[in-house]
Amino acid sequence: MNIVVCVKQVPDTAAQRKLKPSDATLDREAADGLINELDEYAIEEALLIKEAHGGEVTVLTMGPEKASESIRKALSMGADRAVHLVDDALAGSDALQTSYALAQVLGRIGFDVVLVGAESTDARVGAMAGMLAERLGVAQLSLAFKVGIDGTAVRIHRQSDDGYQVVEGSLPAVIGVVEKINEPRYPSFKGIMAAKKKPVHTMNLADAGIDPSLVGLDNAATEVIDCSERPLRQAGTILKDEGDGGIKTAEFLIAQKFI
Amino acid sequence: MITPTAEQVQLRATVRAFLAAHCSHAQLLAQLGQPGRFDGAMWRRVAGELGLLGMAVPESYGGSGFSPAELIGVLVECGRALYPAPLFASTVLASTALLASGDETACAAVLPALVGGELVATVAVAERQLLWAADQVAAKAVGEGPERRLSGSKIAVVHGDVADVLLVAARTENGVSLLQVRADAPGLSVRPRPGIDMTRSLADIHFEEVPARIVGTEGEGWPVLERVRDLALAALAAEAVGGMSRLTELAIDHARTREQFGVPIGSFQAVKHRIADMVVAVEVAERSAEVLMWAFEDGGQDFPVVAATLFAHNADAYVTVAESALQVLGGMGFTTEHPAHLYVKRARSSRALFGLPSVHRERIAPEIFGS
Repeated sequence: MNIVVCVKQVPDTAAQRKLKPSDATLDREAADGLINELDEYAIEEALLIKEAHGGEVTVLTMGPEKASESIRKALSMGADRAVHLVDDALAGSDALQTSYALAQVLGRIGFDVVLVGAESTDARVGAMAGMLAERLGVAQLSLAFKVGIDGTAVRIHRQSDDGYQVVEGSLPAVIGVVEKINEPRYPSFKGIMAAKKKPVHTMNLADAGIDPSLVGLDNAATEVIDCSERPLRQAGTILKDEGDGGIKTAEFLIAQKFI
Repeated sequence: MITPTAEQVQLRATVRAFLAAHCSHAQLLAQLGQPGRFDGAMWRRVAGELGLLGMAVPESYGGSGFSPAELIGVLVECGRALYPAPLFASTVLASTALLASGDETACAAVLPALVGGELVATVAVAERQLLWAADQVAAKAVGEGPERRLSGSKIAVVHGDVADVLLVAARTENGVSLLQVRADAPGLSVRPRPGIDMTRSLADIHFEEVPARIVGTEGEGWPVLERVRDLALAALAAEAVGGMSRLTELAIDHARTREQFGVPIGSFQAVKHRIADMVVAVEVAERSAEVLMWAFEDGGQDFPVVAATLFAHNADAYVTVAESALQVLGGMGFTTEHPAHLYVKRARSSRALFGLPSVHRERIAPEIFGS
């Protein structure tokens, strides 16, 4: 089975994240980059599918040179090879353009299953599974917390606000995963040492057959009109318990519309 | 050049993330309450999923076939989290002893199980004092050929209470030999030794005509144990780096948030200067970990001197940083709930475990200055 996992490098959520004042795109230098957390679950699921059904796991990432760190982490977890779509013309692409670019690469490298994390911690659009499936003309199985594959039939448990739905489709398909699906493994020492010998194929726009007029900040369908720094956190409210602590806490929560 | 490789950096980050998720202060306290004072399920993940127990063991014995240099970063992180499992005993002491002995049969019989975490092994040398010195070895292994009867006593055996296999230094006809003993063998009695370090268990072990088998060549055990000692000192030096760095973070966090006279105590010069000294000590120690890795990769000729020097330096620095941290933390640092006391105890205990820094400085002085 040819399994592709789409991985995005995002700024560390624990760090102070910033937009560049010049064009309101993400300032990737301001914080350390790491694999988008949900993508780690997608990698783990890809490895589990490979362990159960055989095949190969390819990591696909679109991002600047620096994203190679995330590729290395994915390879050290056990993925077999990686494709890195890197081109300055891609900078500032929005979700629609990203799905176009990734679909172009996927069309070239081929796949039976594409796995993606349900959303990224930086942009948080959460629509990549749907967009990719639509562009590729294959089944979309999103928000999966359980995946079963039998031949070409695929069946997922899809998380919803009030329970779950069982959704079936057939391969090839795009599956978006949520964090309930598994516990991503830690890279083993052997895996880390083996990762540097695994093939990483670098592609630019021309290699992937991407039309330059359809990607990049200037051609994006969405635009950031304005942004401002988050205001500094205000000092918290300290409630003194003088026998009425419970009531005061309840009043505070009511005022904040928590209860 | 002593910059760690990208792989070494990634390995250390992985181990740190794993231990942060599974050996936080609260989880550590819970582990110490379990039998054996460590978590078996987590130990199996350390062995299987992360593959940390066989990094320096050849692939033919189930390991990954790299050098102990890769272990240094792992030990820094174990020291930082005070990870209480017997990695130091099994992976640093016993695996090194087996490999250094050159005894292929013993290696094939024991190493795969140590790498897999199914068995725990340790090395027992000291008898009356916490010293590794050939002339202090009085335990005797009598008989002929490889099969012997071992009698004597060993003290402060690291993780001796949980070890399944013991590698013991004892006198035989031609000098000191290394002998392998099963912990459940008849005639062997283990008494846990109440030490100050709650995160590393010790045991005193008495042998009364215990069946034992010589590992390596009879009478040539001491050079093997010297190799073990050098690696153990390097390991303690590396653990100290992690401990010092964590203590300094705890002190800084406290100095930032704890207020006196309406301002954070970190704004007072006496606190500020103390923390600045701690940060400098951590920086120096971090570089020492890189020097240790380099000393291996450089062919290892200077390794005994480098290991002893950095142990002596870091062991003293760890105690100083731990005491400084206590001063900054004030009353909070003396509570059971706060992790500081565990580090203070580790620092003091590790400093004495294989002989004090002064012992090792004196030992290597002729190598540096000439006799």
